[in-house]
Amino acid sequence: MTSIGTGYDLSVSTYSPDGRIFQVEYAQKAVDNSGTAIGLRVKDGVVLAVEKIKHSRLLVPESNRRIMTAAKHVGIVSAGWMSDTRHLVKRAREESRNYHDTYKRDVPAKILAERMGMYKQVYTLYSAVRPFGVGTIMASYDADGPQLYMVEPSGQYFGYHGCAAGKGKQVAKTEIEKLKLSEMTVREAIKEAARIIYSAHDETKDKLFELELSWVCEESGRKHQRVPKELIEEAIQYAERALDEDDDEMDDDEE
Amino acid sequence: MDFAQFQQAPVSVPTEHHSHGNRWDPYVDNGGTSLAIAGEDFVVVASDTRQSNGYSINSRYSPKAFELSNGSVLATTGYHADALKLVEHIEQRAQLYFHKHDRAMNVSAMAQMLSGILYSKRFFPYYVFPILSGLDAKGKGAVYTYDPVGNMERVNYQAYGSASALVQPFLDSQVGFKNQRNADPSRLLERPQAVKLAIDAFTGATERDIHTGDWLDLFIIDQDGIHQTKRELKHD
Repeated sequence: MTSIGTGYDLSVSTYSPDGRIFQVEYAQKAVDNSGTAIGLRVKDGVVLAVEKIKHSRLLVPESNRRIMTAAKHVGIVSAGWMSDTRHLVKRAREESRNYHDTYKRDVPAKILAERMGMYKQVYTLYSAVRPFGVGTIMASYDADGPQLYMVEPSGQYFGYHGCAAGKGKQVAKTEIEKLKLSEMTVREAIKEAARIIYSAHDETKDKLFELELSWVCEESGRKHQRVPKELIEEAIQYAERALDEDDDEMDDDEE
Repeated sequence: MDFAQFQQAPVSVPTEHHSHGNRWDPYVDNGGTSLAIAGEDFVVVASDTRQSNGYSINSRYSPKAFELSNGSVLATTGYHADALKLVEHIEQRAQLYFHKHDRAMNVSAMAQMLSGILYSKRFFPYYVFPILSGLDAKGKGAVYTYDPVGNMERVNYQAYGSASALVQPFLDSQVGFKNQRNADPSRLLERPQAVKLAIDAFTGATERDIHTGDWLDLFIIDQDGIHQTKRELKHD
């Protein structure tokens, strides 16, 4: 629902007459305008993927990573303001470390998600600050198995089997819903994630982009890490082939 | 001039504990002894129940070992008022943890947390010497011992309290097999043997330590839960 909130949107500490806080909704817009990020939770792990839109050919490939590690077993991909993202991941790292120092065990996903949610929520209380323009997708493998959470700028968070944020989130969500995630393995999920990112990517708007893929799964020893190069290449080939097939299908339909 | 007239010896009763002359002392030592012995799949925890203050007895039955909601037992000695508050605090944290995590805290997590709780009062400590016991994630007996400000160590056995100087060396010899040739120091005791030693340690301590006696609270922690018994000790 897009509408401007003239008069009630100047500060995050103001409600509108219909109970909305416009500044938080505007923060969500910042997330919606970023490159697509998705997470897929499958049988034996979680996969994160992101469409890293590059604004220049001069950028060094594989630099400016958008997927970061918050703890040994936790990975985060974000959509939105990248500078806010770095701050939030730093916070997630501190929270994980603090939890470990207190309880001598790896922070469970839902606890970390709650802490991130509560942290973001604070910035929706005071007019002196602005909400974080970041949608945080968190993948984790803990004692309760593989888990996926997404935390919105409002501080609200949910656990997901599959989620998407950013420009192509609608396209991505439609594709994700078609998948049988609970029956897939991470190796299959990587390929699907790449295909979905490629299909959600809008060639006409952003020419240059790079795919980042990471996983935390049984195969990786429950550690969050970048997907091995050969597998990324395989995934990209799969994605490109799928795109070509789609194009062929479209041509067939036109005939 | 005789300056001695200006000097007055501070009045103090020899048996009572006052630091810094006549100043009020926030701490009191309520006496008594506690111990814990870990086995392969159990832990024995024993505490006497006499609470004293100097040469006086406050109570013959004031339990100082407490069962916590996550299935572990915290045995205390030192200042009983602080022990009660400490247990209250730990239990609150254990329940918060339970509601947040949908599961009970395991012993190692509680052990680490307790260390932090104690250190948080580093500059006005809980005058408590805690021994935390339970089964670890593998089902083995775990005993964690602390000093009042949170220094933590996982051990196979420990004794604290007014008779610790009598009991700890006895445990070193009979549980740790220390200073014995041809003994296996890593061997853990069987359950009946551990219980016997715990009881004998207390009957011995009761004989010689005036602050130990009256009753013994004995806890046996194993996979079936916590079994608590009470045994009489000499009342003199």
